[in-house]
Amino acid sequence: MPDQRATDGVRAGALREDVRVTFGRDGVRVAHGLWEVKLPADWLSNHADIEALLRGDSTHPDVVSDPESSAVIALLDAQGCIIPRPLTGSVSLCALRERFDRTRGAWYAAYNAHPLWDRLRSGRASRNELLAYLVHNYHVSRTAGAVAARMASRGPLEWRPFFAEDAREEYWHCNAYYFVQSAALGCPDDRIKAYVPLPGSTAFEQHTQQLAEHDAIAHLLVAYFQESSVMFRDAATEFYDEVSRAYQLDDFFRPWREHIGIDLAEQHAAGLAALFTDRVVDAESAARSLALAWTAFFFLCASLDDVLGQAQPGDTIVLRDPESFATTAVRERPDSDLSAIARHDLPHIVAAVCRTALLALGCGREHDEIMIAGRVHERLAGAPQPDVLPASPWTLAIGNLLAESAARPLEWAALIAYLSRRIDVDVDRDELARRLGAAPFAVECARFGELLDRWAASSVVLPRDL
Amino acid sequence: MSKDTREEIEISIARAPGEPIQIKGDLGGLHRDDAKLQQLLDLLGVPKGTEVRVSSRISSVIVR
Repeated sequence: MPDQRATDGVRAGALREDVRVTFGRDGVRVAHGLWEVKLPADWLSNHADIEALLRGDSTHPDVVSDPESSAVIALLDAQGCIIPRPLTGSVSLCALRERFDRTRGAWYAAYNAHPLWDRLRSGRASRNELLAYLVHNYHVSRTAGAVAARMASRGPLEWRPFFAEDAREEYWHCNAYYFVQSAALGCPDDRIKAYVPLPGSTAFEQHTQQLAEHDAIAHLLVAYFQESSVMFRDAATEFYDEVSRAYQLDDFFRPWREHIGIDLAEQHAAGLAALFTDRVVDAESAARSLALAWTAFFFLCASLDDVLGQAQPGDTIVLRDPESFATTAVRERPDSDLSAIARHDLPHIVAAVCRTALLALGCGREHDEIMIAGRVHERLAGAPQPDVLPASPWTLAIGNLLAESAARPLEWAALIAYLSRRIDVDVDRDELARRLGAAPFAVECARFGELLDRWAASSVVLPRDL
Repeated sequence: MSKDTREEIEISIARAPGEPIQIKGDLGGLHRDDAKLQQLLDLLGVPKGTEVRVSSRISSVIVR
């Protein structure tokens, strides 16, 4: 899991904190993202400015450069080692993509450094982890067409035709390529379809859905990040072969390999890249889009953590059936269990309740749906609506889940009732209980509870140096 | 579908403002192609003896 804690003094031009610099007799190694650069020792000994940069004693604008120093800085910059200058004024989408390209290598590297991969390669991961990984991929694939459709119907007008075609190309892939059908895994189709998504998968799915509605550029960055990963086809193919051998899965990954071929043949990444035109956006919204794209990446990594959490002894398979969630008792947890970051973000949670109450009210048709949503909103209407992003990505996940449920006002109300038992939020619990009656929405509440657990324990904050 | 289909991706490295070096091609293969990597380093003008190697083991593409 990438741990990108915010620091008060982000120094533009300095080396990122997570760059690994090793000084040796034959040279200095600079490892970050996908690459390691080795600079010759004798050259470095004559370039104190670069050495100071690598030791964290200076930022590169301070460096008095000769052409070779300048080239080294360009290389380190392309590697993503250097904290970029804050965005100011107006930013073209094309420039935003160039900035993102410097960052994404580190994201790919962090994603691929997750311990899950070696466990799967070697067969050390339990069969239940393997299944959870396969189903997670199926869930991510299931999301692609739906999110593209949302972009096609609610995104910027000029992008709608592109994403309408994208939706038509993507929606059936979850069925044709990623549906988990394998005699070796022994799971009936209906139980795979009903498998309750892992919290990270849920957070990713709902975040991308909300981005499609509210931040098309962030959506574009995320989709581009996903599609560009086909550049690793050869490495992925080797990995799939190793996993197949480790778990005797025969030809299970053939559709996955075919899918990569389709992404390449249809040039999905290039198509998305072409949308990064010279159109300009203000720097503040561009920075926000980058942070929200990072949040999607964070949820992908969190999904891998969740897969590890599905470990079971031997070949035991414990599916996340909806029925098993319906019988899980609601775990009450007082405010005092919140991490400092979660506590900091409490106003964002209250604001999300207030904001999504309006969404729920707008979707209300029945008497109780309208009264519940209206009352909740009315009571919280004076709560401040923060105009900055929260500290924790999980705070965004909570808001996303509430927003996605608002189309079903009673389900949304059940989540609010559940939330009010976990944290102190000013709603009339008695009225909620009375109007909800016997509609328990146990599975939805349990899924919400999983996200709330992660939010309450938040230890990672959105980066400020993208 | 051709086995040799490759995603062409453009990368841009600016040595100085107004002096971008653009490389277009199979970025995925770049880290497997020492000659291409050396060509990139030569174009940049980094000091002789500079080496670049891929340090991450890639396992999976990210589904979409």
